[in-house]
This record gives sequence, C-alpha cells and structure tokens, in this order.
Amino acid sequence: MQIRKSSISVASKCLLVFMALMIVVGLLVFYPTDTETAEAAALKQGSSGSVVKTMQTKLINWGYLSGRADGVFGAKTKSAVIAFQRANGLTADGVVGTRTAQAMGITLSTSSSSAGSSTGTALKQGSSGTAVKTMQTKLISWGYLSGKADGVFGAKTKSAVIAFQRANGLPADGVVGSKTAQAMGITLSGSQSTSGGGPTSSTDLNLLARVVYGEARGEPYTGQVAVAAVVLNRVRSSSFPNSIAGVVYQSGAFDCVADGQINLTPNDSAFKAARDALNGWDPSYGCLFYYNPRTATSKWMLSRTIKLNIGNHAFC
Amino acid sequence: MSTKQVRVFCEEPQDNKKNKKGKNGKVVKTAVLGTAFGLCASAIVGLSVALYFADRTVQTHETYQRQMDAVYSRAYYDLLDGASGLGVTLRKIGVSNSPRMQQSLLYEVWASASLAENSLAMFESQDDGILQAQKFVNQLGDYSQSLARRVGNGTPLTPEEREKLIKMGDMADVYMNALEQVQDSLGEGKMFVGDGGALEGFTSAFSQFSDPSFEYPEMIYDGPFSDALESREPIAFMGEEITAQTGVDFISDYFKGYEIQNVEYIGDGNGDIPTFNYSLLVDGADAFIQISRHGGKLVAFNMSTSDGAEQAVKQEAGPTCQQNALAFADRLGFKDMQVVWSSSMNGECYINLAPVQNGVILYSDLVKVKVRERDSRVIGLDATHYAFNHRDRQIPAPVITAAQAGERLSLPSESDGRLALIPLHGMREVLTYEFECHSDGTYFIYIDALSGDEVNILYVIDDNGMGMRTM
Repeated sequence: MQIRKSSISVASKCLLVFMALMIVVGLLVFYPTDTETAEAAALKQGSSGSVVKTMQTKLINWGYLSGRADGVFGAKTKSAVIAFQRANGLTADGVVGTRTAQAMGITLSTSSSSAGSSTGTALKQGSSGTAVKTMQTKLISWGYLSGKADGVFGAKTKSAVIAFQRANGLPADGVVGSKTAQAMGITLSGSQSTSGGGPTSSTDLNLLARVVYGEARGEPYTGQVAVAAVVLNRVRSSSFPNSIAGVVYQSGAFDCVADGQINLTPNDSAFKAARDALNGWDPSYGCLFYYNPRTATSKWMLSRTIKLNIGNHAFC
Repeated sequence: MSTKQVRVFCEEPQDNKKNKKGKNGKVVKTAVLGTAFGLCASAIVGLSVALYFADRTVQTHETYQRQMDAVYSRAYYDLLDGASGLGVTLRKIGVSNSPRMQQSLLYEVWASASLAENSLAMFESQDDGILQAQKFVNQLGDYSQSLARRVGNGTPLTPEEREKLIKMGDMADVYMNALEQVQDSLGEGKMFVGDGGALEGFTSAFSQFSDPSFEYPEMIYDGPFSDALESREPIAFMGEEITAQTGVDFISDYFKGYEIQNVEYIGDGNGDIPTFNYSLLVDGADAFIQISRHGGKLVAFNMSTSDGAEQAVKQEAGPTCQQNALAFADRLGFKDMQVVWSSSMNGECYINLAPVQNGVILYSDLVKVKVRERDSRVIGLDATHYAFNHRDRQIPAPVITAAQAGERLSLPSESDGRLALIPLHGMREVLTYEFECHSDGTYFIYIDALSGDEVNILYVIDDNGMGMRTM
C-alpha cells in the first residue's frame, strides 16, 4: 500500500515536473512579445545620444572598450557590451536592457534616441501643436509676428522665426531646432504633432528610392535610374494611376511590394537614382514595364516588345 | 531468543532480497508508468498549446482577409459610384445647348471619372483590358476638364466634340457592364479575396476593352493625357543615321578634357528616342551614355558618383558650376542656352538650361545638367525635353508691354518681366512675361503677353530631400 502510494506520488511528481516544464515552455513562447516592447527603451546597435556616451565612458574605464566615447552605438561598442555581459553573468546579446543598464549603473531614460530620429523634434513649416502655439504667442509678444497664435506653423510664422533668428544671431533657416528653441525659451518635447499634408516631394523621393532599392539594388546605376523612371512614366501615362504611391502600390505591379522588400532602408545610390529620375533623367525614354528575362514567367509580360536592356532588366 | 534472532538474522537478508527485488520491479514499473503518463500529459498540453496558436494564426489570417476584403469592396463600390452616372451625364452634355449647363456637367464627369480612376487603381494592373479601361477613365476625366475650361473661356462645344462625348457615353456603358458582371458574383455571396474570390473574375470582366474590334475615338485635346503626347518624336534629333562605331567618335569629341576609358557599345535603345548606348569610365567612374541614332547627338549621360553623400556646399549652384554646365552644353551643340534654375543637394547641383530665341526663353526645351560641386565637374546631362520639343518656332510679337503685364500682378514684382514661352497643359505653348514676386515665399507669376491673362503661378519650396524646386 505504502509502495503503491509512493508510485502514485512518483507519477504525480513526474506529471508535476512535466506540467512545470510545459508552463516554462508556454512562458517561453509568450515571453518574446514582452521583451519586444521592453526592447524599445533599450540601447542597441544604431542607438545614439548622451546615455550611449556615458555607457561608453564606463566601458572604456573598465577596459572593455578602447578609443573614445562618441555617443554612437556601433559594432565595437556592441562587442564591448557583450564582453561586459559575459563577465557579469548576463545574457550576452549586446543589447543594453534594464538588467545590463542596472549592472552598469546607468539609467535608461527616453533621452536615448535611435539613429535618425533626432531630427524629428524640430519645429518647421507644416508643424502644429501646443509647442507651436507657445512659440507663436512669444513671437507675437516680441513683435515678430502679428495676428493670433493658431498653433499652425505656416509661411508667416516661418518669416517671423527667420526674423527672430536674424535678430539673435542664429542661422536664419526658419526651422526651430534646439538652439532657436533655447533662445526662445521653449521646450521641444513630444508636444508637437508630425508635420504632414501637401504633396511634399521628399516623401515621393523616399518611396521612389525604396522601389529602386527593393527592385534593382544589384543593377548598374543607370538601371536603377531607369526603374525609377518607369514608375514616373506610369504616373504620367493615362493607363496607370496618377500618383507615385498609386503606381507603386497598385496590386501586382511591383515584386518588391509583394515580398516586402520595399520596406528595406534604401542606400545612397537608390536615393541618387530616384532624385535623377525626378529631375527628368529617363534612360528608357518612356518605357512602362521592365522584367528580368531570366526569371520572368508572366506570358503577358514576355509578349511585350523590348526597347532597351540595362543590366539584368529588359525595359518595354 | 537467540535462535529467533538467528532466524531473523538469517531470514532478513532473504527478505531484504525479496523486498528489494519487489521494490525494484515496482520502481521500474512506476517509472515506466510515470513516464508514459507524463508523456501523455505533456503531449496533451503541447497539443493544446499548438492548437491554441494554430487557432490564433487562423483567426489573425481571417481578420486580415476580412480587412483586405473590406478595402477591395470599398474600392469596388466607389468605382461603381463613379461609373454609374457617367453614361447619362455624357449624353446630357451631348444634347445640352447652354454653355453653363455644359460646363457644370463636364465638371461632374471629371469628378466621377477621377473617383473611378482612383478606385480602379486598387486592382490588378497586369492586364491589357484593365490598362485600356484605366486609360479610358483617365482620358475621359482629363478631356472633360479641358473642355469645361474652354467652355468657361467662352468657346462653345463643336458638333464633333458633342459626338465624341456621346461615343464616350457608350463606352461608359460598356464599363458599367463590366462592373455589373463583378456585382453578379458578389451577389452570390463571394468575397473578393481568397480562392475563387471575385477578384479572380475582376480582370477578365474588362477584357472587352482590349478587344481589337473595340474602337476608341482618338483623343487629341489640350491636356496631359492627350494621345498626342503618347506618340512623341525627337524632332530636334532627326539628322543622318550613324553607326555604333561612329558613335564612339562622337563620344570622344564630346568629352574632350575628360579622361575617358573603356568605351563599350552595350546595345540599342528603341524607346521614343532611338539611341546607341555605351558604358565607359569617365575620370575613373562608371558612366552610361546614350547617343541618338539620328545625328549622333548626346541625349543623356549619367555617372554614379562615389557612394556616401557628398558634403553639401551651398544651396544655389555656384557660378563655376553654372559656367561649366553652359560650356559643356555648348560643346554638345546646345547653343544660346541660359541658366533658368538651379538647386543643390548633397554636394551635387542640378542646373536647368533653356535656349533663348530672340530674347524669349523656351521653357519647353530644357537641358538638365548635373554638376558635382566639389570640383565643378559635369557628371550628368539630359536633353530629352530638348529632343522632343526644340524646333525653329514662329514666336508672335507680344501685344502688351512688360510694364502693362506688371500691372496685372497682385504683388509687387522683384524683377522686370522677362519674355518666356511656357508649356501649358502639356500641349499648348504660351508667350508670357515671367515675374518673380515675394510674399511669404517666392512666386513666379506668368502673364500672357498677348491677352494679359494670368496663366500660371509657381511657388518655390525648399525641400529637405530635393533641394529648391517649384510647384
């Protein structure tokens, strides 16, 4: 009886162990979704700012990193972080999350910025929100702006900002960056909404560069210009949508949209090619289609007359 | 006692052995049972976890499918809305005798056609029927807008135009029929997306548009989608035909002062401008050149400069860049050119040159030159506009003076008006006075030099990605 009892208890122990194991497995499956959100605040390769600099200084002092602290989290900093994590029994992933930060004695605040986002804080024509309103009220009371503060950064506000910048020895570009904001005594925290609206061509340029990168990044430079030109030729053609976004996102039009490569960050060459095409370069002289003869399968596409070959693409 | 003890002592090992054996057997049995039980339990738990995630994936998939279906349905019903009134409105215009009524109906067609155009763009593009259907709505909207503008200016519709509108009304009915076919399958409860969805039949519903027997009226009018613009000829480059070999000689001639190597003929260009294409090294960098097969003119040349953005130097192209651009164009045979616009970006500047004929700037005939600011070297040129538009023109004498034109402006002008021939709506060219004005930014205002009407306004924007440009 005692023995049977123990066999049940062994069985139930086994079961418990397995259940616990499953729970652990379950947790592991769920866990990544939690870490993903936590990662947003972490420092990793590509981050920059004063926190990164502080961290680098510490890593240099402790001998994990050589050189000087430049505030940019690069590959070298990453290796140093991994070495630090290994030496301190932390997960060696090269990402400074809350634990690693704690071990290093640094605080992870929102002050760390990921690459590229630092320019977004400035107020400029097209911005709106309470920060703009505060700024306008100040500019009105100082006599740079007339009318009333409406919270919208328009052409008149821009002229007023330029006048203010001139009077205060700042670069008169009409953009309220950190220096101008400091001189005005306003803070540029997240109170400003994104600037938007209107047919700004930098968004067109960006979209076009993404198509070039997604579709033709291995192609010769002229081939890249030609791909961008095909998009613009379609915008001009009556048989296609009348905007760049309309053409690019038309169903089945570009492979890079279907396979998601359009979301890759374009390189310099793609941007240059897109800019050339927007400025009028079109090596295809009016072509509306292109394909790679080696990989194309669409009969409809293959039936078209080729007008030009550049690199791996046939333009028609 | 002692015997008992002995017995006990003697028996004990036997008992122990027996017990041990029994115990061992039971432990093994328990372990096997436990493991089997545990495995079953873990299989059940594992399966439920897997099922849970599978279910979640299916649910997510279905949610996306429904969302996509909603997007397509919305586009489809918008398309139906846009197309439904077209036929009737077009016929009404055909019979209307009042210019005001005609104009308002024409604008109605324009708005409906724009809606239809935008919605049709949501669907698959790689099909001749859809391409033709798209062309039809685009041209219809564009044509109506151009007619409405003209009727507004006091020129009534001609009988041919009325007839064309009625013919387009018939085509709008065919269009509507195609859409109704799709409606039938939707009526059967089909979704757009997924296997056997209405999307599969959507493209084929428009196949009539690509049928060779389906006759389109030729659409030549004053607008950007006019058929006239689709059959362009490089009228400026119509000289004698050259060979690919002589093209090489032209290149060495054009690039005097540059170090050129490895000139290689890489194929023909059979686009709107027939060209011979060459790859080569110019000052050690890869370049691509297109020479027109007729006359051996340089139509386009472009270089990929070093990767990584060049250091920006200045906002407006410096005088040396402009001089080099002009000198380069002059050597290629583009004579009497003037710099009309320049903008700089990432250490490269784009300089637009336009020919000047009897003091009139010909904006249609632009030659665009790209110059690297670091050393003011020309690194690209495009003469497509020049090729399609440049010719000896009979430019009429202005009727009003620059001073009279200046009086038409609402803003004080920063410049004396200069004469410029500008392209309007893609087809027409108008002789104008160009004025530069400032008020919360820079405007270029164009006053018709014959009628004194304001015909175009451009506003200069400073764009992060593109540098200075007008819109």
